[in-house]
Amino acid sequence: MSKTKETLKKIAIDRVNIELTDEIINSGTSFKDLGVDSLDSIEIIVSIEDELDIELSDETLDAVTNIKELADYLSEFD
Amino acid sequence: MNTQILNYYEVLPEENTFVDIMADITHKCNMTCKNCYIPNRDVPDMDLEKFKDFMSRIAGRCMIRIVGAEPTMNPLCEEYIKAVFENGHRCILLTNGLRLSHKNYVSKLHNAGLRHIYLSLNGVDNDDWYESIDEMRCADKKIKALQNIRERKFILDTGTIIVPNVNEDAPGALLELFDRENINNALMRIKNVGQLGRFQTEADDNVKMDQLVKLCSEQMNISEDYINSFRNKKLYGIYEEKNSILFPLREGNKILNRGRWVKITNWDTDNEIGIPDPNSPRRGRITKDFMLAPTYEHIKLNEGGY
Repeated sequence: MSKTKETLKKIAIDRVNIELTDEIINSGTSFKDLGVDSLDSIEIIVSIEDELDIELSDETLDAVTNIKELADYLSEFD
Repeated sequence: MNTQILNYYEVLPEENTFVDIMADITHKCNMTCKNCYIPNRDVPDMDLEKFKDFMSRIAGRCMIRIVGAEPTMNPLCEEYIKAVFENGHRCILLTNGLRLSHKNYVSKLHNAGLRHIYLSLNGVDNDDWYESIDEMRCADKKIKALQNIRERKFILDTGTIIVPNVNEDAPGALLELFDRENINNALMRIKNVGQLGRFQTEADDNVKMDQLVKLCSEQMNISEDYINSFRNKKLYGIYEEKNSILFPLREGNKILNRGRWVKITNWDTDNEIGIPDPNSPRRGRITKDFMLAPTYEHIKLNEGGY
């Protein structure tokens, strides 16, 4: 299991009460269908940056529409 | 008290339908701002155990706004924050930032799970403005708080009340301050004076909504047309709020608080009921007796008291 994926799962449960499984992540479920609204998304992003001590690109994040795309983007930091 | 005109009601937490709930955890304050909706300092702090119980009973997932007077004056402030997260809610701390000028205190808040802070910056970095509006020359402390918030990567909202003939240049000054301090992700809330509790500007003399738009347009180098194109859009894609306009400074930015965003809010009370945003289904407030009431209606009914 990659570090970034583990962190994503932990943040999802800790910050927005969503239990992410590998199956859910790989299915490419949209944030909306996961119940993640715009307030949640900023909370997730800030927490990821904080936990992994990285800076995520606004341009890339604007293009991310589902949880798989976010996980794939984060894997660049593994 | 005229409950009929105010359309006032109270519900149990289990019956909650609000999404944004104010918890005034203390009425103490370390400032004496001229605009304050709860200027009464004699009310005891909110009972922590009752607050915990309340959090466990609220229907739905809410944004809990830990507020005061000045919430950091409550010595147990972090415990209230922890209780919010333990019950699965969202949390934002609304603060004047004086205590957040100390790194240790900011770390305590971070350790409690807090990630979202609203910092009032009525005077931006200008001590004369702070003295005129908040009766304290506190620009240095505000800027230190801003730096500490940035360092710990909190989600940042700032709040600036525009007072006529005092700080009408604040939107531009705020951008300059953000440039200097490398604040690249933030929501700048620009509002006029609300005539609730203690205030320094009557509605007739207030900077009106269209003027707020004009000031932001001129000082933030964006067109009024661009700002007005966001009127009547749902805030965060979720809430209907007739008295606010929310927009990103960089066109096309989709994620709130990534990059710089602005929210212009009309706090004028020049309507029949005498409150901003009457009958809002969004905003609730925890009452003294741990019930839930519509925020502005409750504040109006308790003006000078709770």
